[in-house]
Amino acid sequence: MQYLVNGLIIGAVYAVIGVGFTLIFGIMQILNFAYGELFMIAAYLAYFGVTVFMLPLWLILILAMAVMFLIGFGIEKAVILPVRMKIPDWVVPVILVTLALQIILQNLALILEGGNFLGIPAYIMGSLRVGNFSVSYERLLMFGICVATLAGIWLLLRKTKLGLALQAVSQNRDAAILSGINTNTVYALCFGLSGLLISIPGVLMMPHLYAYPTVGQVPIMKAFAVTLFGGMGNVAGAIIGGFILGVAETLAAGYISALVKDGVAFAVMILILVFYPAGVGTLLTRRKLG
Amino acid sequence: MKKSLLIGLVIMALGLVVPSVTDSEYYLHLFVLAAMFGVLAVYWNLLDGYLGLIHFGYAAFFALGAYTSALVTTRLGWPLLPAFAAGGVVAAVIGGLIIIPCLRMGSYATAIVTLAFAEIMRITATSWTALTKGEMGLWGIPPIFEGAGRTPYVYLITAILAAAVVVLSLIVRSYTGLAYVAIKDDETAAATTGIPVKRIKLTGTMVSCGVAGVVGAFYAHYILTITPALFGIAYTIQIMAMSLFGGKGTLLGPLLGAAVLLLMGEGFRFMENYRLIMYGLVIIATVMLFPEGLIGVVKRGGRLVSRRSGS
Amino acid sequence: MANELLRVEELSTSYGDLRALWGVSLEVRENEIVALLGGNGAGKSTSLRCIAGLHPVQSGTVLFEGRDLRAVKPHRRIREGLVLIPEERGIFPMMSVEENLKVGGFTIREKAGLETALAWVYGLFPVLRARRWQPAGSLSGGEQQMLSIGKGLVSQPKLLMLDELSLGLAPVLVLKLLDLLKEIHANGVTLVLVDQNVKKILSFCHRGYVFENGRIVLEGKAADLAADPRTRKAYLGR
Repeated sequence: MQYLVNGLIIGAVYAVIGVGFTLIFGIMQILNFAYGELFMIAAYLAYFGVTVFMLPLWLILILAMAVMFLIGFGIEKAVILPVRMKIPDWVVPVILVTLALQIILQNLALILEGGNFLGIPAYIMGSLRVGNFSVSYERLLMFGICVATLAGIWLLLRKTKLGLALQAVSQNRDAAILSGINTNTVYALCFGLSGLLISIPGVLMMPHLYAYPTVGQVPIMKAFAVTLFGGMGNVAGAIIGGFILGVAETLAAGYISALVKDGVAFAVMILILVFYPAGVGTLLTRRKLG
Repeated sequence: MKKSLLIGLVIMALGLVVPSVTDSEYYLHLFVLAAMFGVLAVYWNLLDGYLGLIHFGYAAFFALGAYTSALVTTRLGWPLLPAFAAGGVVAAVIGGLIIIPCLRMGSYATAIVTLAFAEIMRITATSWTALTKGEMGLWGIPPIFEGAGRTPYVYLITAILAAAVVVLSLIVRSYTGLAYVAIKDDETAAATTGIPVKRIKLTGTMVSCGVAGVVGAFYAHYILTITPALFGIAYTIQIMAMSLFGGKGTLLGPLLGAAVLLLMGEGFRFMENYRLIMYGLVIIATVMLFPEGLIGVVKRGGRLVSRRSGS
Repeated sequence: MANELLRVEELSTSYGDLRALWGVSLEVRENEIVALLGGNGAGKSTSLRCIAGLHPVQSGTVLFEGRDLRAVKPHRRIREGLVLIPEERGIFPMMSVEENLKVGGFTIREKAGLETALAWVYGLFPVLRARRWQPAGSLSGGEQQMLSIGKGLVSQPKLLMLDELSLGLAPVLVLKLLDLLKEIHANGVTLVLVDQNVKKILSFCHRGYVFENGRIVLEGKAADLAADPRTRKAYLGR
């Protein structure tokens, strides 16, 4: 029971990580290898927010979301857009560029901040006890914010004009252009949105991880696993996949060994790719596919 | 045929000349690294440039060869030659097994599976301390040439490079090479004309990974200490950058890229991080400014010059 | 004579090294129905894609209501009143019928305007209203084509270009669609049709152009083209 609760909490975080990643794939058909490094930047933002500026959590979160939105948007406009304009068949070149960005950002962080593991204490202390299991308030808050974020992104995609445009571009790019949708704007917004989403776990996980240059390797592996599980580009699938991965990992760590925990994500990936490459999410959302 | 041999001879000659020009340990070491990365870049390019497989875990097969050879020599006392062969075979077989599920899934899946595989291998090598000594790395690996300085290594790696380039150029010019061109052009059309696309991709991958394994074995018995970091994406990115920068889908481009980038990288040697940033920037600049790579620029320049002198 | 709506002059383009259009010139006047005819790969679809901005123009000009379209970005052309219904059905399979139509009206800012436009399209295609909450991918081929046209109409274009209207549809359905197009035309929409089905299309259009190997080889009144043996020849190839 305790494991299940912990698994669901971490699952919500994974779901947010996965949605931010799958969104870019769904709309642009590319893998953003620099995604983990956006998480890393958010973690550093949180670290400085707490230690240097001594800001409250809510303000750090809002600032990080805004900054990361701008960074994501800016990366698309400054680096990805020129490649797309230059090369008609841009998918693979853009993937390579994101890989290069990953290396650049990691080493830039190393140069600027050194390889130290920077940590902060928990944002809030104390925990909720019900019967014989307990959940820290911080984890509850994390769960709440992540679920709210997922609900928010769901509403955005389903109920707003921007969501309509995002969906349209992901399903039929030419038809979207012909309907008057500016794909360049949509792509940049999509990168911005992805940055905004990853900033949330980046800030909230800080007390549990640390900020260091290669911290992005952790979330990007989860993002890969969740995305594959849910089906590439499938937002609903990624949400379900996030929760399942979170629970599976916690159970594996609890009943087998903490060492195998990170192996679970990889095992999930390989199994899915071998047996059901379209992703399990397509099974769950078959109605939508018709 | 003649051209392939000629290229091989030129490389061999270069390898023979270098040790007589300089006896600086440092420059000889640099030459060994350049030749080594040259082989890796050329054979990574076989996957990306010829077969259309984006392989993001290539360094893992290099590392696999290194660990295999190091383990069979230190633990089982195998002689070097079979140990090298074992490194190549293990890398080729596992490389093939990993690519099989990818072949029916398209290039994104290939990218992810290979990357994930490399990471799994890295974690395994880190945590299976009984076998690999984990982060500490394996040491005490027997050297190829006992106390003989770097010159014999230069000869050996040059021979490997020459052989590797000749073999690849023969493959590319053979019937199989024709199939590569067809697959690169239009995979579906190639399949409908009866070209066994999957088999060709599989064997190509096995050759490529096997070569990486042999080079890895060479590296292990040259450097004498290996760590799990070898499996990491950073090495793959260096190889990729060399291959793309030189010119993908060409035979000699990656070789040129490896040499140029390695020398450029040495300028930043005092700080590893700047060097990696440079590799990143090189990839971006190559993609944006001259997608056909250095060799394309050289060729275009050559054409311009010959046109001007012709008129 | 009616005003000129679209004028294409010496349009050329290529796919990679393969030249696809060699100086195509054509014009469409207000309230006309114009057919673009020709075999596979003759350049009809490419011409439409160039006009809509989905494919880059290498040389030549495209004028819409006298305005040079090179200055108008592809996604802006729908605001000028120029709409292309692409080949392979320009719909979004995982969205509902209504969502598809809303994307078609993406450029309409006021809610009331969108409502009226939707009502108009539903009036033309009652079957779409009946299926408005169904995912577009689950519709039949004919219904998908109707949705595709309906989606193009929501923005109330001046010129509607249809690529391969009858592709994969039963003859009965094609006749039905042509009837609907007549109604749409009666509503003041100028039409450009690309189709392989020469006979049916020519009986429906005012004028036509015949493409061969990226060039226009024949043009004239629909009735004259239908009678001309060279039209047939262009289709069957040499």
